Amino acid sequence: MIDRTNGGSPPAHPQVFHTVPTAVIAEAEQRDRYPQQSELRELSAFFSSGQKRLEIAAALAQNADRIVAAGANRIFTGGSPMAYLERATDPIGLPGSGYYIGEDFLSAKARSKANLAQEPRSIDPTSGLMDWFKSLFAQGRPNAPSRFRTIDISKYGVVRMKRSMRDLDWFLRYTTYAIVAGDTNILSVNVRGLRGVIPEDVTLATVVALQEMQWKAAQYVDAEAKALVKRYFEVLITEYLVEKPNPRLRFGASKLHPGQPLPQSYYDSALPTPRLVIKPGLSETEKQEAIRAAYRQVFERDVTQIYGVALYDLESQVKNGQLSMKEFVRQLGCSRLYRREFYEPFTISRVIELACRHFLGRGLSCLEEFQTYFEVISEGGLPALVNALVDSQEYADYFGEETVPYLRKLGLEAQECRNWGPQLSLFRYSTPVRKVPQFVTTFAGQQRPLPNQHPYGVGNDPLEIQFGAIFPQETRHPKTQPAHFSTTSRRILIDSGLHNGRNGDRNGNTHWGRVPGTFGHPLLKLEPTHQPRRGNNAQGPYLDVARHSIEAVILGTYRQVFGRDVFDGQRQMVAETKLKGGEITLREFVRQLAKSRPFRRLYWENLYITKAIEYIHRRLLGRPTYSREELNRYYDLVAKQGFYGLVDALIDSPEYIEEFGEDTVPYERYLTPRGYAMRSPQGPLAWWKLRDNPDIAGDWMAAHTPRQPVKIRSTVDSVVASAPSARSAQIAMATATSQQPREMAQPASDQSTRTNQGAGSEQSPIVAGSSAPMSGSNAERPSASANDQKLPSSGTNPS
Amino acid sequence: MSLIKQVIDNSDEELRYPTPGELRVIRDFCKSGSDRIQIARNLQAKATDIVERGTRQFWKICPRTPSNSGDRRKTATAKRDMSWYIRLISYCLLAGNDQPLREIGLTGMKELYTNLGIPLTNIVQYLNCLKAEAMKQLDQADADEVIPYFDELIQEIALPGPPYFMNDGPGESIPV
Repeated sequence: MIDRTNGGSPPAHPQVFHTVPTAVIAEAEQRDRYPQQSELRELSAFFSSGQKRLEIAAALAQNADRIVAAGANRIFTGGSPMAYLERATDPIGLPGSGYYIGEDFLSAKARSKANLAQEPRSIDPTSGLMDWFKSLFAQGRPNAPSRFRTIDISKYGVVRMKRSMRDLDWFLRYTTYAIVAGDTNILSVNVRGLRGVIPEDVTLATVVALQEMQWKAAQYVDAEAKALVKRYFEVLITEYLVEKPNPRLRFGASKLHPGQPLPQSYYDSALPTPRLVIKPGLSETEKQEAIRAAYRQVFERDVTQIYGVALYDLESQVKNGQLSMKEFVRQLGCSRLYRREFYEPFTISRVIELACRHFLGRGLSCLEEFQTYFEVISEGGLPALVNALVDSQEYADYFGEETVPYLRKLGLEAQECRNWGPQLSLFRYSTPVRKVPQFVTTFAGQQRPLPNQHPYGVGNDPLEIQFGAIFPQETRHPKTQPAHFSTTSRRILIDSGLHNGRNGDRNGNTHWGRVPGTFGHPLLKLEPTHQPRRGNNAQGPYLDVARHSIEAVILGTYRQVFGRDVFDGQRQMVAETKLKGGEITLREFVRQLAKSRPFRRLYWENLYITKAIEYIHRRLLGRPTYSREELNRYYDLVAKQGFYGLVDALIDSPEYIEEFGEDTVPYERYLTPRGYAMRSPQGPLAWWKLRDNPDIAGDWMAAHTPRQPVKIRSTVDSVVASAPSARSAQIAMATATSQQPREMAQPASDQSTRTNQGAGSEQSPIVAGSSAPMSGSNAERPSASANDQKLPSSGTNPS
Repeated sequence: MSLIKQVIDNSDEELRYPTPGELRVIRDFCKSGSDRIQIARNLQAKATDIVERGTRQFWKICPRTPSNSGDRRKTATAKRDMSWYIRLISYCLLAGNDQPLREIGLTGMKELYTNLGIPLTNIVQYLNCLKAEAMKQLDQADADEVIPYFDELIQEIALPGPPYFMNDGPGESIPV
């Protein structure tokens, strides 16, 4: 089992580029002030030039094909390069296409209408010729360097032609974006270093094509705009010619914090962050601003105005140069205010997390680091922690003596993937008031065994059949950290103990759990209605009371497949007749029921796909799905073959044939512990109790203490009456969930691999002992039709 | 995230040039640019006044509140938070949409107040007072621009969000 631990990664969308307004706002926001006059002037200039820039963009967009064609014709010979340009083929349904699928389904008429709306993109050959003719006499056309040779299309190959044309189109498109944005940032972020991935000879050709496009694009705009277009193209070409820049390295401070690379483009696209430093030569206002920034970093908000804690003598020392910024930050950390704000209200673990943010600008990175600082703070208190952080090698590397500490966010430096979730939320505004330590809980979560939930999501299994539900009610105990399931990890399933007559393995040991209510429930089997012939005499019908009538078998099948008794109108009379007549086997009967209209309506049409698969699986195979991997296979099947394919696959599966064969009514073989807890009369979900669904069933089970000692050996009757085996199974669950992950990773025996990986039966001798006598007596239990009513269908009934 | 950025992101997603419609949106945005800057300036000039009078109004409605308890620090903190919101609104004016408010301001604010034990109704009441005050202080045209952001702020805090994770485009998904 692969076990990757992490703190969850909320989808992080790094900044792709920035525009003038975003840059201004980010700058002002980071300094906690309104935009300054100069910034407003810049913005105002941006707005007033907007008209011009948009005109250019519109002109470029309109003549895009011609511009790209000009560039391509310059470098390619022997054919029409534009034939290789592929546009996004079918924009139908995308927003902005003028046609939205949600409104009506793709009727042929609507489709053709939308196609008509597209502009014809072929270029008039005569105008192309005219252009070419004109271009012969045009002024200012760039000269290609002498070593440039044109590329023959036929030799170049279709695939490479397509790529080249796509790239030329892309260059023009991004230039247009940059012109709209009024900022060349988008170009430098996306284009820089491209040359590093393109062979050298092609690079030269690309530059020639770009210059041609630059010249061509300038033809379509007026004189004033020409300079602007030229400038943007120049930025494009310059950035293109830059060698692939080295990734920026995050310093490795110790072996616990290895250095990590961050691609340069990520760094470029990050919002500009002011690095404030205090140096002797700075002006008074700049110094003042740096000091405010230090307050803001350490106290997370602007404290000077509100609390009136301007530490005047300290400040003046900083301004005089007697005190370095590092010492100033240290003094702030040791101040009474810091203690009151960030030490006294919190637990120690939280204090460490917050201090790490304030003084190092990041969250905790690993458990070892936390333990180090925990030791420091428990021995020396808060001042020792502050000193340790400020004196650390990392602080020296990043901030040194002069720089004010800042938050090292995503995009500013490489982040460790394992801590993204807590890391990003630690940088949020409301972080100080979170009472639960974020990192420590994550670290602790890594040490725990797998929670008893579906790998599909965090709290997605409130009812056992509802797993995959997408609306977790997580208002009270929100857990941002997902369980680290891989595709190979499986759910723990409790065995019902029924194994088609062969209880347990060969040694007579059964598994450690039992599904309550199914115990003692006999298998329904379709057996021949007449005794076999003996010699020539046909024997009469079976009159053995231990056998089930065919009617009982049919009703039992309905109950299993539909989860309840069906109404008369829903019965499949044709299939029943065939079954009674011996035309079809019971397996075929089950298949016909599953393919019937009522079943489809009940379990397929109203449900979303995960839930539908889960229901049908439980109905037909008698167990929940094991793992994400298995579910994925069903998704695939359903996508390709639909509902009927799924039913066929389940009923024809080797598992079905082995377990139920041709003549046994499917029964519930396994159950999730959560569903088990629900069915237990003392379970957390009993109807009269408050429903505070615990995160995992194991939580409840671990907390639950049985009121009476477990009976090691019990008779069948007492089991049926008071279900002590249910209790012993609870204990077994509790032991199983508190096992260390190391044990869970061990290869289990072949039985437990099939049934309940992670909690092998050999780990709970109590239950193994208790269920041994049951297995013997179970086989010889007489049939009792009253027991049929105990089919555990009520818990899973969807209606 | 400004309006322009949104347009570029959209068209980049679909591998096309900005459509004329989108360009028109940006053009309108640019045309109103100087007005917006002016409104932002006006708002900035009146911010302290709005907060001051809004607070007094709020205390009339809600006399028993920590900020009115005589603790000067608490009063100042409350005022700081409110002027912070007004500053965010001025950012929104410059960006042309509500993204700065959402990204900087609203994320986690509800949790913050809940954690601090401040009743959300009080905050809503307070913001309502500020809004009324802003309407009084600013002239009609300016107020028309500013009020929607106040409304959004109030709604965001007052209404319970959907109980699931929304993926609303770039940016961290926010549990609401």
